[in-house]
Amino acid sequence: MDEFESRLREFRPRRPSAIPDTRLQLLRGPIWLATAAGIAAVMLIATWLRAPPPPPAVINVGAALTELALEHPEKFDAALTEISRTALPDVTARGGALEPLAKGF
Amino acid sequence: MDADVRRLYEEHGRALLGYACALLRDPSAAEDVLHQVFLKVLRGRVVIDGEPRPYLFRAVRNAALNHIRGQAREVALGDAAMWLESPDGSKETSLALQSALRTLPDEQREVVVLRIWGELTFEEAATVIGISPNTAASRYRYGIAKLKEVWRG
Repeated sequence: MDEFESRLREFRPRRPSAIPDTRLQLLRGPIWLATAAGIAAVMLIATWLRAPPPPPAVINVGAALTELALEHPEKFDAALTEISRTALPDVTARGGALEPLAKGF
Repeated sequence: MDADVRRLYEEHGRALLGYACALLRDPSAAEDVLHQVFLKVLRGRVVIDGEPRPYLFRAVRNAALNHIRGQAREVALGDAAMWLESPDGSKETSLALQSALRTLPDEQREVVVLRIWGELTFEEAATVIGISPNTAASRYRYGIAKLKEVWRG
């Protein structure tokens, strides 16, 4: 080996950085998948929370009371009293069918 | 297994990085290629038969060539892309030598780097590249002669 080659050999390639952690490398795929799934789940929940609540189920009070009056008349009064607490129309509502009645009071 | 591979990395990492840099001219991409090769070995996807050094140089070469094929365009290089360390720690000297190496034709530079910093024999270098030992020796001689002209270290 001549002097020139020896001189070249005095130079050294720099040390490479450490090999990336193989476990992290292996996890890289699943981590991204899990992250994507998590983001999708959060977005889904957020969308669901922002959606308007479903309308309350409409109970046909009239039909139920008619049926009760015909089949169990003895329970009718009690049922009517109970239902009247929540199911009677608001006589004070503007534009409602019972508004003229309310004006009489 | 892990310890053996890491020992190989410790022993040959510098030379392999130098070789990858000579092929890619981009130290960052070269390091990625080097890691890619060692990660494959660590995961047991490849088994090294026989002498590991020529095998590793060949693996780095293949990975670097794949990288080049995957590149849409040549990477613009700054002078800051330093991969050689000079004995006196001078950046200018290192960059001057790197610059001189870049003036060599690819096939000459490759053999020079394999021989000088990879410390491979002509036979080993020839196996890595897939040429005859005589061709490797010839490329080396031409490369060194040109380097002498271009670089005055």
